[in-house]
Amino acid sequence: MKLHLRVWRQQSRQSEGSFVTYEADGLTPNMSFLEMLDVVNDRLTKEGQEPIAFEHDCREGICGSCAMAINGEPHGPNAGATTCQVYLRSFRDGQTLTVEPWRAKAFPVIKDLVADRSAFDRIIQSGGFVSVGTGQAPDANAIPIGKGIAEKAFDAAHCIGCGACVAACRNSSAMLFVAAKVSHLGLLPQGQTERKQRVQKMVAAMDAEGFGNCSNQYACEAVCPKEISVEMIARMNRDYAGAVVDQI
Amino acid sequence: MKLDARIPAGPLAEKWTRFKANVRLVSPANKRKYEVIVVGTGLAGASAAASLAELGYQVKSFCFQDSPRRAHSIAAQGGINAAKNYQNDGDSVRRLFQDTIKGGDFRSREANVHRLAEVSVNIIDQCVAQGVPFAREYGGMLANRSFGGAQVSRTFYARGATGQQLLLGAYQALSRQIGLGKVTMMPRHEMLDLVVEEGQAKGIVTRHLVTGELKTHAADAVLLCTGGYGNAYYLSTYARGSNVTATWRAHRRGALFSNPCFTQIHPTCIPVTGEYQSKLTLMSESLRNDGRCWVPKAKGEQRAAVQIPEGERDYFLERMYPSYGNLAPRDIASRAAKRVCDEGRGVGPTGLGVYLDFSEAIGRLGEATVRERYANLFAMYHEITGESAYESPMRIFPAVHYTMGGLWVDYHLMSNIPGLFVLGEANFSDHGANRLGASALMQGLADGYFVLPYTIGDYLSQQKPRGEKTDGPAFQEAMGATQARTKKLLGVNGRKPVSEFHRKLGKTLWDTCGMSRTKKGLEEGLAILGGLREEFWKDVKVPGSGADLNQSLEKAGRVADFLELGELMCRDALEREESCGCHFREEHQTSDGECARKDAEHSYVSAWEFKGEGKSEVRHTEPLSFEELALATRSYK
Amino acid sequence: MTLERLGFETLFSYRSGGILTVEALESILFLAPSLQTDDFLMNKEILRMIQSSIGRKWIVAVTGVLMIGFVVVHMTGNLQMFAGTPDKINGYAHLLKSYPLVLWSFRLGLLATAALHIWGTISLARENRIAKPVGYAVAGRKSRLQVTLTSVTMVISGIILLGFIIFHLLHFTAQVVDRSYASMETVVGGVTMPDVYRMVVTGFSKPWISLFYVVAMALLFSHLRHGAASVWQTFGLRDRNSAQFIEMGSWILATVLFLGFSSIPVAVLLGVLKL
Repeated sequence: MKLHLRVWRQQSRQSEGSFVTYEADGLTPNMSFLEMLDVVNDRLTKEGQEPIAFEHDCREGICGSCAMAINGEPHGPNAGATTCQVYLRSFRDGQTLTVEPWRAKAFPVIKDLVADRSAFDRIIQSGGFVSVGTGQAPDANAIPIGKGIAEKAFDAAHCIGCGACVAACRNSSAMLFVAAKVSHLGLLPQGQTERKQRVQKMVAAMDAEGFGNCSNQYACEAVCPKEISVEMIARMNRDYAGAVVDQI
Repeated sequence: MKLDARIPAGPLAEKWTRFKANVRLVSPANKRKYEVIVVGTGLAGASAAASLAELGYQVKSFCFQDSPRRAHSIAAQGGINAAKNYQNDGDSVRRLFQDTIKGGDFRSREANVHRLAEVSVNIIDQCVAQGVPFAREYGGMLANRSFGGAQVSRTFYARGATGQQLLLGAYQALSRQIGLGKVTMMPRHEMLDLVVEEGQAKGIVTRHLVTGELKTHAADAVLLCTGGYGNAYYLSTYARGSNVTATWRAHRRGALFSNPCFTQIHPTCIPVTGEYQSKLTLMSESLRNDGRCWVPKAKGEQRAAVQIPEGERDYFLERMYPSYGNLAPRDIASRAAKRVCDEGRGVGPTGLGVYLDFSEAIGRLGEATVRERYANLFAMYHEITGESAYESPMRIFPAVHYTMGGLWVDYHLMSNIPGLFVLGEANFSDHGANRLGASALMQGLADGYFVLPYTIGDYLSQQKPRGEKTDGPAFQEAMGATQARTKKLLGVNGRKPVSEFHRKLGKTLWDTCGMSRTKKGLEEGLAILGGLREEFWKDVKVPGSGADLNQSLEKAGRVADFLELGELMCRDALEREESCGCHFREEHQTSDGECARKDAEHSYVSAWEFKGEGKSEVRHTEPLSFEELALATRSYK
Repeated sequence: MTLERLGFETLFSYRSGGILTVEALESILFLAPSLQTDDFLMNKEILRMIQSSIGRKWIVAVTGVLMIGFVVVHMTGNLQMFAGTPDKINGYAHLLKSYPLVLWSFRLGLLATAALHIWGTISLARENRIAKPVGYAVAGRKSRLQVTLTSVTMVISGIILLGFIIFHLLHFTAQVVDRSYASMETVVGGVTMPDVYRMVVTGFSKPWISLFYVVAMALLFSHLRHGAASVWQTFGLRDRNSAQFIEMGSWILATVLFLGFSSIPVAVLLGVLKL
């Protein structure tokens, strides 16, 4: 199997980038997309060129490191999968693939396909937690939590922070990411005390990072590898209004 | 060298309570004068950093990933054990302690394991309070599932992503402290050396992975929470970035490395499909509840699985272990699979695989029930292999997935270098020669939330805060050594990419120091690795510069350390002339092919001392004494 | 919070003939933080929250709903063209004009609503453009990225609709497009009143005007197809179960409005409505 690659190469945050074409040959359909990049990189290394920088770690879809758009689609063609879970059988022999880093002002490119997603960490630092110190917890079964609530909270908490939502959004909005955390903690009894101030602080932090605004097109939901529902955004919008009313 | 584990006196069940009652403390006003470096942000690192900052210490936290949330604890699937006895099925701290010691084949410390069992209950409380969405019953109470090596249901879980949820809990606690300014977080920093000043750990050298800047950081104590070294095998269920560099660099600075040959190999992983393969994916052990493992009776069978008649199939686990059958423990099942493959009866294109067949279960329960139980796993299998396990059996093969060995620590989790603490998978302490399922998460969080915050005070209360100055000779020397090494890696300018060395290292370790080991094989392995290490420094190609993001350079440094570690793993395996848990020496087996432990000679923890470049490491031992539990032989027949 | 602080006092002042100053408008828009009150800081926080991304989305959604309400009422009123007698719609128009205070407060309210809607969307859209300085070299498949024509053209359809509304006001309200409108009068039940029916039929007899109106209504359709569905999400009322009904509802609403409004110029051109 053979693929033509057009890969975004950019030396550093400051420098201009451009597409470079590579031929990837001798592939098999059972190879993962990232393994194909490994093969290309080994060849580039042998030729004395710098390999393509890209982020990856667990290669099983949970760490959220891998982040690239394949033919304009964050994480590639398959629903519910991260880039590392894309296998070459998803492509046609001889197909041309254009590979780009996440595109968003809040995620500046560091090198090649590596973008800086630290804005997400700063949003969590602004309030994406329950303020409970080690050792302060009551017995785990002291507060019953309905199975449905726990499941829904899990659905939200399953976010891997990969940033595909931002990458897919025409406006680079981080609403799905922020809403997932707001909903996860807002659904559980443990998160109630800080619920109002959490949404207020996290939205303020999100705005300050330069993400765009949601225009309700739901590309985020479509590309989310954990298929997190935009219901979470609705919930956040409601919580936010609640926080405003609370101020009054 | 005399290894003092500093285990408190008194009856086992009271040791930890007594320790806490008598431990020296640092007053609240003084805590802020102490700096603590925490390397790694997995369960152990994030929980420790958050807890120490809550106490008032100044914490600097480092991780090589772009965010602390990406540490590999995130990938743990199954669950976390705790002796809550919420199921009223007879669980207790004592029973969890017993199961863990036995599961580890009596090669761990009683006092540490008992403490682990004690604090396990606090972990669940803490995580629930943080908002970890554990599975619940309809009544709103926490649900439990059963796991291998236990006769009670004590495993708490959050679907198939327990590690993720626990890590996010710890990450959020850490994030809160970062937001409050109490933790300085330094992501994309890799620790490349430990600074030992006047015999005490006082700092580290890091490389900023984006700018390439090398920098020294000083502190009053250094915590290594840097995970396991299973990636030495190249193919494993570890994340690609998981590495031994932090602990290995500390080892080269004098920290003893314990039980390096104790590697857990998990039986149910998706087999290798080709040379290019970069990663092995675990399929939950739960599949063995309904799946039957088999291989063809005949060697070199060419027919597709479904065409092989029943009479020509060998259900080897059921044959070898009739009472446990397909649910034999991990190390046993893995070895059995290896044995049938070695006989030439393995399946799949590489011959390294066995079938895990659900046709009997589908016939008995109906496809709908099987789908309901395992749909997500079948889907994952399909995603990776392109095959449907409803139509033909899955192919599975064992894969490296955890390392019980690690830096030697005492009861305080402090290594033999004062001020250097080691937590989680990076230390050797709690799992002996085999870890039970759902115990890794428990240990990481126990160390970080509930053990270290107590024990570190005992050390720091005896130290004067040293301040942030990094101009001492020890710092300069470490900095110089790191600069030289980086330069050396970039300067080899050979022909082969790092991955070629890594693959060869992995294959050698897998073949000689994997599921079963022999004296001859290990000696051969040592010879190959010695040559490979030499070749590496002559022929490795690291393109690019040290002054920016250079993933080849990162990999090269890590593989160079793995190469050295690989030799130590083989030596440790060679010198442990017995079989125990994961460590199966073919020379030491019972007549029916099981582990033959030699308690009289080998009931110890090995602890290797680095003696300098090109010199043989020296092995010390810490004898293990079992006061509470009688040494017994495991049997699963 | 008192009514005073909500800006009702200011509102009242120009209801009774006060002049709409920028200040007065702002005080309504931002719930008038009064600098004298001791909880000034709290109000500042509210102001900040309202101006946040989600706050502005709420403003856009609330004003959008208000305008949807208006167009529904407007269309219902217009459909009186089909009553069979011109007196019906003429009487209706006359009725509205006989309460100038109500009419003008309504008009000003509508103006403020539209102003807020435009301010909100333009400021959000500007930020969106800045947030995505570089797009992808290859556009992903529309099916994968949920791209719909109506959703990606909201700003365009909105701007053209604004132009249309201005034209529409000049046409029928200010009557500057066709000066002869001012002299069109009729007598219903002994009362002399403007002959709205005649104005409409005269206006729409010109095919280019009719065409323009129909095109504008198509854009209204497009704008509301996405907009009417979006408000549910912004109000936090959309979930997995309700999503399909919301989408269907927005299709129905947008279609009904399009057909309702367009029916008049089409009917005029077809000769169904004639003088």
